[in-house]
Order: sequence, then structure tokens, then C-alpha cells
Amino acid sequence: MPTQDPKMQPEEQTTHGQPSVQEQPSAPEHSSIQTTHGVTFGQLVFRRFVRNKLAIAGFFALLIMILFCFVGTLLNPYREYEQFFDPDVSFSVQQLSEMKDLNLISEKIKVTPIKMGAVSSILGTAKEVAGEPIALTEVLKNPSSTETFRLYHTSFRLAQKNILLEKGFCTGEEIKLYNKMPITGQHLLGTDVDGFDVFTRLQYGGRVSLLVGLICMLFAVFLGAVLGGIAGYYGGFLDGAIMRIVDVINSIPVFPIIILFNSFMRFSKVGDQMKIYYLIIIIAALNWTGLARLVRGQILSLREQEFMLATETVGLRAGRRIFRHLLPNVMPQIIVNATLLVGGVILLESALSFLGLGVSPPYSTWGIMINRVNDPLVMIHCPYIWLPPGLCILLTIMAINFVGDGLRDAFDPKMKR
Amino acid sequence: MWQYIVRRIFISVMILFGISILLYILIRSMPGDYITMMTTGKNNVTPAMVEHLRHLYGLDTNIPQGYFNWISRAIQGDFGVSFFYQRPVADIIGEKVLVSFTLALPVFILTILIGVPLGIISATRPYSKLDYAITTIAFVGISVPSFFLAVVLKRVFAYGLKWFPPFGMVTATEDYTGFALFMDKSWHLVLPIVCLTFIGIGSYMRYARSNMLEVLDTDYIRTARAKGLPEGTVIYSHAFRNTLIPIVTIIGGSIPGLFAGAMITENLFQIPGIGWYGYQSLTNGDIPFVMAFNLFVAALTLLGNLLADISYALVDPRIRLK
Repeated sequence: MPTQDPKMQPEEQTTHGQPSVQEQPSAPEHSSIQTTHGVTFGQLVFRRFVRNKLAIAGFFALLIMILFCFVGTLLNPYREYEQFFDPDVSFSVQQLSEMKDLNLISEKIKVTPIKMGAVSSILGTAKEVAGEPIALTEVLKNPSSTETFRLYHTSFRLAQKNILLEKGFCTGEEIKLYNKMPITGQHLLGTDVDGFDVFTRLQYGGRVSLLVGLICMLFAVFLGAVLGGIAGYYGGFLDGAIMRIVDVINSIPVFPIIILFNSFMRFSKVGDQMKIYYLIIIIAALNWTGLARLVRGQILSLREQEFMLATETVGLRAGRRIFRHLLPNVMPQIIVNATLLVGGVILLESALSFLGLGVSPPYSTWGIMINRVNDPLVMIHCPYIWLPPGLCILLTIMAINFVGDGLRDAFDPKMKR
Repeated sequence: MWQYIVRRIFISVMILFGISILLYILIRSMPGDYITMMTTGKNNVTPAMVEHLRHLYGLDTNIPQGYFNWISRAIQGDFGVSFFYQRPVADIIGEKVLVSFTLALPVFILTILIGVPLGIISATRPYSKLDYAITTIAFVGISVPSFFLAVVLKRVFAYGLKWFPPFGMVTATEDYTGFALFMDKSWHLVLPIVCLTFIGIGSYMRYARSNMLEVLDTDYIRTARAKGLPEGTVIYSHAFRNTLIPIVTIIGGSIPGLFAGAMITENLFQIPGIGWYGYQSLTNGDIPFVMAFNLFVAALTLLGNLLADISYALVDPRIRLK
């Protein structure tokens, strides 16, 4: 293969550690290790990685993103499918206190008294006028009041709405979907067109996006490493066959294949959750080829090295030679590529979701959330619905790329820094 | 060399065969073909009419037979008539490729003109503030989803500031000709070009930077510096030329891609290029178009790989193709 990158020389774990160490300006806390015993390859890589500012920034950004998506959902009082309703109905003091007892509303909220305004000269009817919001506790102190109140600046969840209807507080027509509400204290990033809390969906969506990226990467790395390893190690017919499959997959356009599979899934009524699993498999099946090429190339060149001849001379079994002597030498490339692959897969998944070809609602992913811009009104007037998920994708993928790039530099024996 | 090229072309043709078989099986076994989509919901369509339509569209065959029919005509250059547009597929592709090309060419030129110099600048001052700034911008370009960038650009520059039209290729209400038409088209293409260029510069910049760093580390650069050449001469005449080798390689490899269209960006900006038509045909189940379009794109990819390898051998005499 003439495209074989001439830079890709095998890592020689035990030897190249030493000279690089001497070039490093000695950090005082490590000085004893450096001068006397030398460092292991892992320590060396770690130190080089830590010195790369962008990589460290990426690592922490990624960590924050993972915490936000996985731990954040545990701390968030709202759930993924919670829709929010805007009660336009007015309540008497009696009703308010009942609702408080039913835990429908917290006593900390504020209510606005409704007064009848002046009679309109044209329509001949009185117009409702909302007063200044006052605390619920104040209102409840005076149970005999005949005033009616509206809930100020709050929203009902679907469950609460049902209780309100059952208990006969209202007819339901007065309760509207809390749709495209801008940013408030209750909804940090507002709500979207379905009355979902954007902030909450962002966390749950990120969970799906990150998990899809991670699982796809694991599948793809497994496939790529095993098939590439087989092709490189055994050569001959197996090599030819595997590399032709790689060629076919590499030159097939990705979107058409996914669109076709998508219509399969739509017609065979695959459930929404199963669809995610199928999607993961398809994306993995389309993404293992780069790694397979890389592993194959590496193993082809490693196979010719003296240390492999030595393992043969000592009479090691094939399995041991592959797993103990070949694989560790390819590991750096696999790790770097696997990292970058996660970013690539998240990008692909978000593009698919955006086009409506990936994970489908009611599941949320960042791509689906941006998909709302298909409604021009949302695009123009509600950037709080689609901007945060886009920034999340950008931040996550950038962080992953920084980490991957940092790892690549850290593993590279020629890097002096 | 020639032997190598001929062999590669032969392998590429074999791969194209493989892809065509795979695609044909997939698209024919797709539930709900074009006829079903066309006739569902229409009460006055009898089963006999559906059968007749299937026959007319060549969908009454089984898959191997259908593939054989298709391939025997495709080999002679007849890719059939598009179900949806009712015109020969080859004509549509020829027309739409030009549209995509007018979008892709400026992007290609701008990407190289911006990306490569940025990479070289950041390599000459490695790990400086400037380097970090350029690297970060490059990574934003690599990491941003094209659809998101397109949406942001549309929101800010088309709907917000109203500097550029949000979509389309020409102003539909005007009937421009000549230079005015050219200006109108350029006006419409600014946002898509900015979008694609920003996404593209990152990889060129990173590539140029890492190659330049490598070259600057070589012995002959040390020699050049040791004999007292000014730093400008060292970088721009000694180092730069060798940095060009790998860059020429990827430039050579990406030329065929200029004709492949950009599916998502064309969709979002509603530019009637090959990418948009390809997407439409896929969602429509327009078999002749899907087959021809995808094989066309696959052939371009394979051609790109081949060109990359050939240009590698052409610019670097140390590489021998075997």
C-alpha cells in the first residue's frame, strides 16, 4: 500500500522512554523517579498528556459534560417526558389551600389576585386585571377572602394536571401546554414546542448521544482490531477478503445506507428503543474500517521486526504472540483512534437525528433537539430551544478531539515536548 | 506505474460491482416501494393497475433478475429513467453535478488558501498564544456539526442581520441574466460557502501544521539555519516546499469529491445540487436514481483514493507504486 503513512513506526516501549525523559525539564516532585529508575511508558505518556493544556482542558470539559448528563439527571427534579402545562384558571382561597394540601403546589409560590377592572365602554364587559403577585402564605392567612387568584409564574406537570381535573378544580380547557416558554427560574432554558423542559431534555439527550458514541466505538474498535489483526497477521486470502470488504464499506456513501435501513425499521415497526440498538450496530458496522486498516498496517510492519522473530524462536503460541507482543505495540494507535471515533460517531448520530433518521422522539438526543429549527418560528424566535444542544455537541466533540489529539502527541515518541 | 494504475482501476470496478449488488438488494427489499408510495391513499387504484404500474417500472421482477436487467443496461451507460422526475437519470446527474460543483469549487479553493497558511503560521510559532488560538479555531471547525453551523449562520446573517438570503440559489421573483444572474447566485451561495469552508479548513490546517513541524525538525533545516540563512528563507523556501508534498496528496485525493455534493448543507440551504437530489430520491424510493447516484459517489471516492496515491508518487520520487 503506497498510502501507508511513513510516520507510523512501531513504538518500542522499553527503549524510547529513556532518552525522552532526559530532555524533560525536571519537575521537582518527579525528580527522584526520573533520574534513578526511569519511568514506565504509561507514566511517560501521562506526563506528556498532562503538559498539553488543550488536552487537559478537553479532558475536564468532557468530564463536566459526562457529569452533567449522567449525574445531572439524578439531581434534576424533572423527568425526561414531563410535559408542562400553564394553568390559566383562577382559584379561590379555599381551592388554593386544598391544592397545597394535595402537594400540587408548594407554599413558596406566588399568586396574583384577579380583580375586575373598569367596564369597557365598547364591549360593555369588565376586563380582568391581574394585581401584583403576593406570596401564597399571605393569601392563606385570610381564608374568608372572596378574591380569586391565578398562579404566578409556575407550571403544572402532566400528573398534576390530571389530579386537577379529577378533583374538579377546573375543566382542563383553561390549562394550556407550556409551549415555547422563554427562560424562567423554573425552566432554566425554557420549554420546547411539546412543553418539555429544554434543560432536562438536554441532559437526557446527552446521555443517549454519549452512550451511542461510546457503545458504537466499543463495537467498532473490537471489529476493527480483530479483523485488522487477522488480516495483518495471517495475510494471504484472509487479508485480501477482509481488505476488499473494507474497501467496499469505505466507498459506500453512509447516508444512503442509513436511510435505507431507516425505512426498513419504519415499515417493520421496530420499537423506538430497539431502533437505537439497531442504529448502534449499523453505525459501528460502517465505522470499523479505518481502525482495521491501521491495525493491519501496523501488524504488517511489526511482523517483520526482530522481536517477533524472537518470539517465534522461543516457540510461543500464536495467541500469546498476538496478545502479549503484537497488540501492546498497536495499543497507542487503537486508543487514539478509539477516542477520535467516539467524537465521529456522536457527530454522525446527531446529523442522523437531525435529519430524522436516527433515534426517534420521544427519546431525546441533541440532534433531535436541533431538529426543531425546521419550524422557522422556533429558529427565529426561540434560539434557547436549539442553541444549547448545538453548543453541547460542539463542546463535547471538541473536548474529545482535544483529548484524542493530546493522546496522539503523548504516545508519539518523536514529540519532544 | 501504469500497471499499478490499471490494476487499481480494475479493483475499483470490482468494488463498484460489489457496492451495486449490495445497494440493489437493499433498496429492492425495502418495504414499501415507489409504486406503493404512489398508490396508497388513492381509492380509485385497482390491484390490476398496481400490477401494471409495477410492470412498467420494472418492479415485477425478482431481485436477481432485476439486478441483471439493471446492470446489463448500466454497463452500456443507460442508467434508466428516474421514477420521480421522469427523465433519464444520467441527464439529471450531469445537470445537478454542475450546481454542486459551483458550490464546491470556491469552498475547495478557500479552504486551501486559508487552511494551509494558518497551519504553517502556527507551526512556525509552536505552543505560542497564536498557535493555541489557531488550533482552537481549527478544532471548532472540525467539531461543529455542519447542520448546526448552517442553522446558526442562517439565523444570524439571513434572518437576524438580513445580509444574505436564507436559502435557494437564485431570487425567484427576479429574472436576472448575464452578470446580474452571476451576482445573484454568488449572493445566495455566500452562506453555504462560509459554512463548508469553516468546516473544511480545520483538517488542512492541522495537516499543514503537523507536517511543517516534522519538516522543521529535520537535519537539512538545521543545516540551513546553521549556514546563516534568514528564518524567512528557511521556512518559506526550504521547509515549505517539503510540507507541500503531503498536502498535494490530499488535494489530489479530494478533487473528485468536488462533484459529490454536500447532502446536509445543500438540504438546509435548499441548493438544488446533486446532494439534495440524492437525498430526495432516497426518501422517494426512486431506484434508478438511487443506484446511479450512489455508484457515482462511490466511484468518486475510489477515484479520489487512486489520485491521492498517484499524486503521492508523482510529487515524492522516493515513493514507488508497485
